[in-house]
Amino acid sequence: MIRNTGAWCILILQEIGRMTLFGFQAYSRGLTYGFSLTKLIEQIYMIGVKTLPVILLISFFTGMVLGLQGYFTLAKFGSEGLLGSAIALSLIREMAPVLTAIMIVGQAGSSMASEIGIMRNSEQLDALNTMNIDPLVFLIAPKLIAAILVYPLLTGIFNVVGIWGGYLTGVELLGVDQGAFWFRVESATTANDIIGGFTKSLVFAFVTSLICCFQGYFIHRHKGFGATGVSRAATSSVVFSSVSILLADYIITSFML
Amino acid sequence: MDTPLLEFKSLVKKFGDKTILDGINLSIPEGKMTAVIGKSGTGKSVMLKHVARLIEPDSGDIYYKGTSFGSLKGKKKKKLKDKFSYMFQHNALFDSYTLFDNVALPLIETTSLNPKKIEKKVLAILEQLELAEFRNNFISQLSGGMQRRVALARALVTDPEVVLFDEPTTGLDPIRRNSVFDLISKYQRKLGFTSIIVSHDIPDAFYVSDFVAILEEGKIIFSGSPLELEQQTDPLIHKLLKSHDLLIDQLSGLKDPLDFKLEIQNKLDSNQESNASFILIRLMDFSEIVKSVGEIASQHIMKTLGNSIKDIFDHPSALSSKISRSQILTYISPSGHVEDLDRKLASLKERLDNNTIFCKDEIQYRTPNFSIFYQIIPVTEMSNIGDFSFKKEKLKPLLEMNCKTNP
Repeated sequence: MIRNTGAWCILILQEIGRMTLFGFQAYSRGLTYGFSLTKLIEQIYMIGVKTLPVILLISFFTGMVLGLQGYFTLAKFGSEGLLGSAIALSLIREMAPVLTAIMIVGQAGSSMASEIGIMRNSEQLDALNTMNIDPLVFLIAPKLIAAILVYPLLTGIFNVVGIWGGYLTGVELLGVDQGAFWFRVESATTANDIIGGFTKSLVFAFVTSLICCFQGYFIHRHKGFGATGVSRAATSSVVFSSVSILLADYIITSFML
Repeated sequence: MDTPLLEFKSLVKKFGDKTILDGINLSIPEGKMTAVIGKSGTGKSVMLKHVARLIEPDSGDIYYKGTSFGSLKGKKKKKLKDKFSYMFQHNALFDSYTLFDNVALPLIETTSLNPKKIEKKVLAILEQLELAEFRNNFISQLSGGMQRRVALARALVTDPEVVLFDEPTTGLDPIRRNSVFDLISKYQRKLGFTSIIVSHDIPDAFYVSDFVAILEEGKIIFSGSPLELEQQTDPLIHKLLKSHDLLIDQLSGLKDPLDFKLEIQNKLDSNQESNASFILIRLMDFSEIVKSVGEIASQHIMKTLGNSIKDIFDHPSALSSKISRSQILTYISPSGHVEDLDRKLASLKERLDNNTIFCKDEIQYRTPNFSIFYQIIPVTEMSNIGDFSFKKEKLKPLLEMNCKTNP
C-alpha cells in the first residue's frame, strides 16, 4: 500500500517534471526561433473567437443567477444595496477566471489534445521532425502563447457580461436602485481584485494549455494509439485541467487574501 | 564497393523485451539506390527511422561520411538533418492543408526562398508527378495513389542529398507502383541523391536498386549487388526472392524446391530409401504454350497439373516440387505404394484426359495442343539430386490432347 502510494507519487512528480520541461522548451524555442504570426492568429481564433459565444452565454446566466441568489440572501439582512459589490467581487475575484478557464478547456483544450494526438498517431509530428521543422515551435508554441493572450481577454468579457446579467436581474427585475448598484460595483472593486483575477486567468492559461498540449503530444506514451488513445487524451486533458484550475485557484487565493 | 555514405555500426534497438535491431552492420554507397528488403515486421522501418533520427539507438551508431550521428548537437545536427528527406509509409501528410501547402511546407519553413520561387518550384514537381491540377484539393479529397505521389513530391522538393523511402509503393496498383519506382529511379539519376528504399515489393525494389541489403530477425543477412544476390543459395534469401513463384507452387500444393531438395537429401542420407522412385512429369513445349495463351494461363496450367499430381499421389511420404517452369518431380518412398505407380499414372492420365483441367472457361478457346510426358526414375539412377540432373531420361508419353482453338 505504502509502496504503491509512493510509486504513484513519484510517477505524478515525474509527469509534472516532464510537462514543465516540455512547456519550458516550447516557450523558449518559440520565443527564440520565432513562431509564425499567422499560426498565432489562427490559434487566437480557434481558442478565443470560437469560445466567445459560450463565454457570453455562460457569463450572462452566471451574472443573472448571482443577482437572483444575492438579492434574496441580502434581502434577509436588508442589504439589497450591496448586491452590486457582491456580484462584482464574486465575478472578478473567482467566478470569471475559473469559469472562463473551464469553458475554454471544454471547448478548445480537448480539441487541442485531439488535434495533436491525431498528428502524433498519423506520424505528422515525425514528418515535421524529418523536415527539420521543430513541432514545438511550429505547433505547440503558437497554441501556448495564444492561450496566454486569450484567457485574460475572455475573463474580462466574462466580468463585463456577468455584471450586466446581474444588473438585469437585480435592477430591472427585482427593483434594486440603479445608482446604488453601480456605486457599489465601483466602490467595492479595487485594482488588487482586478489584478488578482487576471493573474489567475494567466496562471490558468499557462497550466491548462500546457496540460492539453502535453496530453496530445505524448499520447503514444500514456494513452495508447488509435481513436481510443485520442479520446482518452481529450478526456484526461479536460479532467486534469479542470482539477488543476481549482487547485491553482485555491493556492493563488490563499496567497492573495 | 563505392565509398560508403552511411555506415551502421553494431546498431541495437529494443522495444521492451523485444529486440528489433540486433547489431546492424551495413554500409550504404553514395549516389546509389539501396534497397533494404525483408519480410513485414522485421524492423526495416525502425532501421530507416534511425537514419532520420526519429529513433535513437540503444547502442551502436550511424556514421555519415565518417561523422557519428550521436556526436552531433545543435546547429550541426540540424545542418545534417537538412541533407535528409523521408517519405513515410503512411504518407504523414497534413490533412488540414491543401496539396500545394503540403508540398510547399518544408520550403516555407526551412528556406529563405520568396513565395514566387516556392510556388515555381512546387508547381514544377507537381507537374512532373501529374498533380498540378489538384493543387487546391485537400488531402482527404485525393485517392490513395495520389496521396502517395504528394508524399513523394514533398520528399523531393527540398533537393535532399539522401532520400529515405519507407515502403513507397505500398497500396499502389502495379502500374502506379512501376511509375513510382521509375520516378524515384529517374530523379535519383537526375539529381544524384542517395536513396534508401525499404520495401517488401521484392522483385520491383530489386530491379531498380544498385545495392541490396536483406534484413531478417534484426540482422543483415546479405548486402551486395543484385547480381551477387541472385547467386545466393541461402534458403531464406531464395524464399524472399522467389516469393511470387513460391506462392503459385504453394497454391498447387507443391513444395518449395529447396525444401524438397533438403528433405529428399535427408531421406537418402539415412539409407532407408533405397527402393524409392522419382516420377518426372513434363509439360512439353512450355514456351510455345506461354506464347500462345500467355504467362498467367500457363501458370494456371502448371498449377492445375500440380494439383492433379498432388491428388493422385496423395500419401504423406510422397513429395512433389516444381523443379523448373514446366517440370514437376515427385518422390515416392517404398512405403508410398510404388507397385501402384502404373495404376496411379493411369489415373492421372484419365483425369487429364477428361479435358476439364486445361480446356475450361476462357482458356479453352485459345489453348494449343498439350503433350505431357513422364519418366519413372529409380532412386539408384538419380546421380545428383542436388542439381536435379538425371542420368537417363526416357520420357514416355502420358497424354497428348488437342483442345479447341479459337477460330
